[in-house]
Amino acid sequence: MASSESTIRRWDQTGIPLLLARLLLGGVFIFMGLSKLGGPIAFLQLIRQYQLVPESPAIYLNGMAIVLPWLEIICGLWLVLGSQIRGAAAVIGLMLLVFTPVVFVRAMAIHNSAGTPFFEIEFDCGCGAGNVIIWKKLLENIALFPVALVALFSRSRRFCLATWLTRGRDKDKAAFAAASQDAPT
Amino acid sequence: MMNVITRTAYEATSVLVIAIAVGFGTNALRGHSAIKPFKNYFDKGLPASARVDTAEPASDAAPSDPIVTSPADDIVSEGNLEHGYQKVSFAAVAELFYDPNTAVGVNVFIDARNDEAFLDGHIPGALQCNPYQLEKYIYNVLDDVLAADRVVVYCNGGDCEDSIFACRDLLEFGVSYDSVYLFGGGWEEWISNGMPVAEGREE
Repeated sequence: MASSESTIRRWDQTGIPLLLARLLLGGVFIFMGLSKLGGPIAFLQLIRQYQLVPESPAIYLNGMAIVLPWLEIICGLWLVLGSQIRGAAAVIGLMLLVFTPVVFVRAMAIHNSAGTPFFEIEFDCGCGAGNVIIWKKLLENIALFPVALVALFSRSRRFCLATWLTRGRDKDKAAFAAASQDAPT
Repeated sequence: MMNVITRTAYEATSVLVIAIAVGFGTNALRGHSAIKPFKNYFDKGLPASARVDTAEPASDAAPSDPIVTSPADDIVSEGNLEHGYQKVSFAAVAELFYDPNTAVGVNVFIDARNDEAFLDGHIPGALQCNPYQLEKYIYNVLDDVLAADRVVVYCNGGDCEDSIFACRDLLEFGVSYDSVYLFGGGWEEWISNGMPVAEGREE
């Protein structure tokens, strides 16, 4: 691993960018997920407005309403703990990719039908923060996306609880591998 | 050894599986505020096209011949439907509200909104029946709505569809179609006309 290292890779190796990304993204999504848990039926009504899935059979929409808050909480938790980082970051990135345009489309629909200026549009988008000013919400989501990419592409694994827990096992593996290499053939 | 993409996909799937398990598991423990996985909460019950045989059936086939007639009978819209249910105007609802027969249960008001909205303020004497937590409320109101000649159902008004869902539920539980009336203007129209309000739980 002695190839020429770019600045980005050097920064990444400190583990700090990943740690910051994990804490920010994880924290935000744990919080957002938890706030959705207070009103499952209300959340169901809110995601219905996006018409992402047909209303019949009901299991699609109901399933989304039941699973999404926990998906956010678990991805957030895994990120904070440093476990399954890529998978959690990928799922969060996917959620951002899907829901941001959908909220935008809904805002545009309101803009076109009610004539409200786009920057004044606010409604409960279902994110868990209640009534929000939509353009700010969209900017927040757009800003979070590169954070998710950092978590997804980082190669560092410092400051990860999961790594600390398995470190003992890996040390033994490494020692064993080293020992078998030295053994006479 | 899996490559990074495969491993990421595997991790993402595992997170999803855990979320599904925890989600459905905790949902099952939630009692009345749970989401019933297979219930279509947004089913409107009747086809959107008008029911041909609307209110005031001429003679024998009438399932509910009102024993008591109300001045509101002339005002209650005939042939005016919202998603198949009989629609009633504010003027008629107000008259029914002040009709002395309402106090004895000839006319019943059903509030289809949730606890927060209902406790905040509702039509005095109205019974709560939230279609999203049906089992919690329907049995409290069933005797009254089955005995009533007219059941006026309302929710917030405007775009709110909860009153439509409540109508669907009432019909499913045996209330006759002809006795159910949808007050489309809802709570918004009620209070913008300065009508009396009741807060909290009565009785």
